[in-house]
Amino acid sequence: MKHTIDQQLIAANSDSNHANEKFVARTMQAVAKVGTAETFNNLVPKDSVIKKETLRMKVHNLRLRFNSLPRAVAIAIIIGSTGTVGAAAYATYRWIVPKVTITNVQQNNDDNKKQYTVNSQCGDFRSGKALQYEISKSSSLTDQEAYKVFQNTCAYDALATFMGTRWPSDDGANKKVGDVITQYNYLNTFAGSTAANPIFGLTIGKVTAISPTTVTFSTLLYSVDNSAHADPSKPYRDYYPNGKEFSRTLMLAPNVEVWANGQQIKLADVKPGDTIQVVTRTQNKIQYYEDIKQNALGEQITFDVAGIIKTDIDTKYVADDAAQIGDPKIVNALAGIGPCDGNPQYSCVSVSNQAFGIVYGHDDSPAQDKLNKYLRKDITDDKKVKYFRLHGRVTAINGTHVTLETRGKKASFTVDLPYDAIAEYNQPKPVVTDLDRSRALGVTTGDLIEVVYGQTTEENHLAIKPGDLELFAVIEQTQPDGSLAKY
Amino acid sequence: MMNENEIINAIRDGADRYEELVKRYHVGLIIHSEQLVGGRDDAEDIAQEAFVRAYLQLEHFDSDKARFSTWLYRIATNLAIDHLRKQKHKVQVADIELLAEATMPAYIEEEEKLQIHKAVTGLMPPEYRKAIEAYYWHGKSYQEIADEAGVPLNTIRTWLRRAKLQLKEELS
Repeated sequence: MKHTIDQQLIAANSDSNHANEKFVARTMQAVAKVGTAETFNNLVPKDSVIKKETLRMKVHNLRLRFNSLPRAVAIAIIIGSTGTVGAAAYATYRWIVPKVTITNVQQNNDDNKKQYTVNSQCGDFRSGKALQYEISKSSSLTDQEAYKVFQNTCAYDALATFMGTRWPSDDGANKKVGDVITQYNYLNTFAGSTAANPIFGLTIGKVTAISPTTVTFSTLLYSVDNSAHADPSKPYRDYYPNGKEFSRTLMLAPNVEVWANGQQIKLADVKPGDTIQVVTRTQNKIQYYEDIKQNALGEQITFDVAGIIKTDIDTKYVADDAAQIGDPKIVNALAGIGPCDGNPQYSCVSVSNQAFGIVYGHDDSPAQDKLNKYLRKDITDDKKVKYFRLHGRVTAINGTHVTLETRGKKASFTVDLPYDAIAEYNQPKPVVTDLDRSRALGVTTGDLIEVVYGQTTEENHLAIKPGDLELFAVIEQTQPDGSLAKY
Repeated sequence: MMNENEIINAIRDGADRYEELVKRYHVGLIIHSEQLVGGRDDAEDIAQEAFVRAYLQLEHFDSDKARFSTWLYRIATNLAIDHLRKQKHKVQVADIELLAEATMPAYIEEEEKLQIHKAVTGLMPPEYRKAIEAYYWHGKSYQEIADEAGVPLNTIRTWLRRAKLQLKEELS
C-alpha cells in the first residue's frame, strides 16, 4: 500500500526523543498519576473493565516521583462547598415538562418509510427546524416507542434549558484552579472526559439511595466509550450495545435545591426509584461537563450537588448522542426530515453519526492532499459561493460519474467525483469491527448519499463538478439481502 | 533502536520505560490527532490521553494482533471521535475514519528513510525544509514554527503544503 507523504515523513523521523519534551514530561506525569490512582471508588462501573492493579504494582518508581508532590498541592485543590444560591431571585424559572403530540402518521412517505409529523413545544432533535421524522427501514420501532423518543428527547432538551437558566455555568471556574495547580490541568482534561470513563458525564438516573448528605443514582449508558475499547478487536461504537448500568454517589450541598413539576420541593420528597437530574458544582461553581474526580494525590475530590430535578424522563429514549443514555437501537432509527440546505425544494434527512465519507474536501486538513484539493478554494472568500446539500439515491455509477435521484424522485442530479473514489472505496476490506462490516459493503445503486458542495447561486445545482465537492457520504446502505440499513 | 515489544515486555516486568514509547511515538501521534480534531491544543490533549489509556491497558495489549503504534493511534482516533461527538460535529465524526487512515503509522525500510531525508534536504526554498523538519520531526506546532520564522501562521501552512507537493514529486 502506498503511504501518504504524512505517513512517510512521520515514519522517517528516526529520533524524536527530544522533539517535544514538555509534552513528554506532561504525559509521563499523567501516566504516573493514573498509575497510582487508588480511588475510582463508586465512579467505576460495577463490573469495571479497567484493570490497572497489576500494572500499578509494577510502577513503584513512578509512584515515588508522584508522591513527592508537595502536600500543599493536595490541600489546595480540595473542593469547598460553602457558598449559597439564592433561590428567590430565580423563582420565575420553571422546569415544566413540555408536551409533544404526533399529529400525523404516514405509512409510506416519498422515500417509502413510515413518517411522523410531530407537534412539539421544544423544537425537534437532530434536524434543526423540521418536525417530521421517518423510521429507518431496518428498524422495527413501534409508534409508541417513536412517541417516547420525541417526548423524552424534548423533555431532556427543555430540562437542559431550565438548568442552564437556573444554574448558569461558569467556564472560568476550572481555569482559575488550573492556573494555580498544574496537576489540575491534567485532571481537568483527563478525568473530565467522558471518553476516559463514561460515568464522568453521568448526571441523570434513578435514585437508589438518598440521605440528607448524599445521593446515589444509576442509569444505563449505551456503547460509545470508544476509548475504552483499546483492544482493536472490540467492535467500534458498540461497547455497551445493550446498555451497562453505572452508579454514582455524590455529596449534597447543604442548601441543595430540589425541583419537581415546576416547583421547589423538599429533599425528603425524593425517594429511591425516582429519576433525577443533578446539577453539580465545585467551589460553588456550577459545572455540567467537567467533573473532577481526583486530586493530585489520586484522592477523590468531593464535589457537591447544587440542584436536583425530579423528572419522568425515560433516559433510554433520549436521542442525544453526547449523553449516551439513549438506546441507539431505538433513537438512531429515527431521522429528522427537512429541506436541504440551499436546496429547500428537496428534502434531506438528519441522522446520528452514521455516515461514511467517501470523498470530501476539507480546508483544515493540511496533511492530506487528497482531501484538500477538491474543495473550492474560493468558497470562504467569495461570498457568491455558497454551500448546498442534497440527499439522493444512487441510480447509476459510471466510473467517476454518479447519477442520483433526490428523495421522492423529484429530480435527478449528477456528481462527477474527482477520482475513482467509489472503486477505491469498494476495494475489499478486512472486517474486524462492526464499523468495518458496514464499510465493507461499499457503495452501490440504491444507497442514499449525502452530497455537500459549493457553487455560486447561478450555477446548475444538479450538476456537481469535482471542484465543487465538499462531501460525498453514504447515509443508508443496501445490505447483502437487498434491504436498507444504517442510520 | 530497541524493538517496541521488548520495551513493552520490560514495562510489564516492572521497568520504568514507558517514557521511551512516549518519546518514540509522540510526534506522529500529535500530528495524527491534529489531523482529526483540528486544533493543536486538543490534539495534544488527545495524544496525551491516548498514551495514558494505552498505559492502563498495556497488560492487555496483544502484539500478535497489532503493533503498539497502530493500537495507540487507534485509541487516539477513538478519543478524537469522542471529542468531536461531544462537540456534536456530526458528519466529521463519521468521516474521521477516512482522515485517520492518512496518518496512521507506516513502517518503511531504512533505505526509504534515507530517500525521504535526502528529498527533504533538497527542498527549495530552504524554509520549506525547515518547516517540514520542525513539524514532522521536531514536534513543533504551526504556531511555534511561525513564531520562530517570524511569519504568519498561514504562511507555514502554505510552506508545508507546497513542500509536500515537492516531496510527492520527488518521491514518486
